[in-house]
Amino acid sequence: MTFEARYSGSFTSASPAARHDVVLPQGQPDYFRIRNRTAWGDDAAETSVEANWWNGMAFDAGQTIDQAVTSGILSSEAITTNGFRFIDTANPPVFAALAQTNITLANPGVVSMTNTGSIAVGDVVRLDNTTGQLQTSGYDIEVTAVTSNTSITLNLDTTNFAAVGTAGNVRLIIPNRFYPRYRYIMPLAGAVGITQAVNAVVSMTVAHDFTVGEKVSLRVTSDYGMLEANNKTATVLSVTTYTVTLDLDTSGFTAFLPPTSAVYAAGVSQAQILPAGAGPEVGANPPGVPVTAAFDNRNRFVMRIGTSVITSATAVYDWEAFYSTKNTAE
Amino acid sequence: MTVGINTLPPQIQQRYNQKLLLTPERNLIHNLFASPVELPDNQGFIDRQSRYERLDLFPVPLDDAQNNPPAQQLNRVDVDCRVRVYATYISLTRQVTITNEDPVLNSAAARLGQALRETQDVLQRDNLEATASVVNSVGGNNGDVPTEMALSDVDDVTSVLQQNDGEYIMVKIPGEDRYATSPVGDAYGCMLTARMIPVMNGIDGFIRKQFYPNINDTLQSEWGAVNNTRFFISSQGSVTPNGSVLGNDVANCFITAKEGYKVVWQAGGKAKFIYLPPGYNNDPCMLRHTAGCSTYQGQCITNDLWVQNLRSTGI
Repeated sequence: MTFEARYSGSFTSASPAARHDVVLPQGQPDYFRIRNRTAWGDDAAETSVEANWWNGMAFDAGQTIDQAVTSGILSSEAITTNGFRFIDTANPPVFAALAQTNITLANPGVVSMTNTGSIAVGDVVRLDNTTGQLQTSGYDIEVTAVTSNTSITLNLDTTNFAAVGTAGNVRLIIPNRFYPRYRYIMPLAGAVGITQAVNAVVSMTVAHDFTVGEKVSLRVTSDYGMLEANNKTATVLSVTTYTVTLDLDTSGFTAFLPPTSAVYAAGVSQAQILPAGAGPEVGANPPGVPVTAAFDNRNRFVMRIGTSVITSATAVYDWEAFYSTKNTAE
Repeated sequence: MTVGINTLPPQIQQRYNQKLLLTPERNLIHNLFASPVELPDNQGFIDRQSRYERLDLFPVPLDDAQNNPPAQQLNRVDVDCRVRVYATYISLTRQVTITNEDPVLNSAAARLGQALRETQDVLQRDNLEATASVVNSVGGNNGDVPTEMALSDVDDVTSVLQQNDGEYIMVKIPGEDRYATSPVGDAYGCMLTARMIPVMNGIDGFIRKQFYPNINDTLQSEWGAVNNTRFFISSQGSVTPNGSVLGNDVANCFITAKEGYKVVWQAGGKAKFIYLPPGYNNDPCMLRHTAGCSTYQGQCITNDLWVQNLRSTGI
């Protein structure tokens, strides 16, 4: 045989139980299996103790073996949701739009949805057709909380928007993982987009991958107020998940404020922060320029394992991925 | 019993035509304007290039005391680019190659080469999509954000690039005494999806390539020009699905000045074709060939001011 491979690994599930991504070293496997090591033989509660996925199965499908409470009797089940989902981040799947009926004026903004689909905490969603609140449309925004089939919470402060978003769509997206990549600048809890400060703090709706010492460049049109920051390049002094602090003095600049829905609908370019290289790391001894800002392709293959499979919290799961020879047939 | 054509065995009914059908090949446009860099072997996997920043101007005269002014700080920006390895292969049984009438290994080599070049192109496309400045078209009238691309949007980006001191990539095509042609100015290069063809053809003053005074120095992928931008299309141009305010697909049209971005290839691995005859890779009965290809490539922008992503709907 020219090529056969088996890869394996283990992980501990989150608490409460949540979906888990296994990064695969190769492409799409022919067969994937996962077993709950902690719950195996423990019949204190009914749980899925083993699940299987074969190439060719539908999105989110799988076959599980469930262990009954008390008796420990095993039974088979074919699942169609929250099972296995293979993802190639360089060529991600496209998801259908889900309707939303309201986006609050709050920090953070909450989106009402009767169907939240497979959206989970940490996912990135893209909004469109947001009636009354168009300045949130076209943005990629991270989800910080989900109440299934009721609402999702956005990593976005909508307090200063003039009106609620009374209708529109929410679409799950899986971003490409080229590194580093630009981000849109928007207000978050405790940050206003770009602060007016000796060391400006820039906030983003999606977790960024900028690093200390990296050079970034800002794009801010007059629609966002702080035109003085446009095309300014600065060095990153510190980072949090959604913000960077820059060696850029914006204390005398005009305040940053997203445009109104009407202005946005008339056509604007979103405020952005872009990678621009790297400079000496402040205070580093010996002095040096970090290589962590190197432009890179960090796309990968992922097997996303859903909550119909990961049913136990803080449990050890063992996984195996199998690849077999593929002969080119005429 | 009458023997008719319906009773002829399939082998008699058909002929195998040895002329193979054409395989679609995508235009490779995204590395057209990239500065090529070769990373020598055995010198790491990150290519670093540096740029010294401009100094401040000094329009204020020294006073009569003639004291030396304070020194300026010379700043340098480093741009790092990591090279990654990409590879794929196919496996063919010996049975296929000795029974098939057409030279299947030759076809395999051609398809591998195509896949390699298209992969190199897509890598650059995704890099530009991740790092280029986003400018929404606003000059169209379809009511979306962005709108469909209009002449004013192209001119706006030209203005931005000129304001950022970006140099043109292509020299002008002077006018000639040929019917219906029009001269083309010095130009930046725009790389975009073929889905933008109807939008481009609708731009005021757009010059289709056949109306250039001279097309001797043009590429097959070039569609036309307007003012100071020339457009190059590919079926694998960048599109953001449902990215507009109204949920429509958005074309990412990358307009670049000279030295706006680069592609890095490892000297010893720029493009490799690897053929292994039967007998390799635990194949004691010599039953399988493999043919593979690999490339070592990195890509990045080199000046964020010189690459603009003019986004457009209407596709």
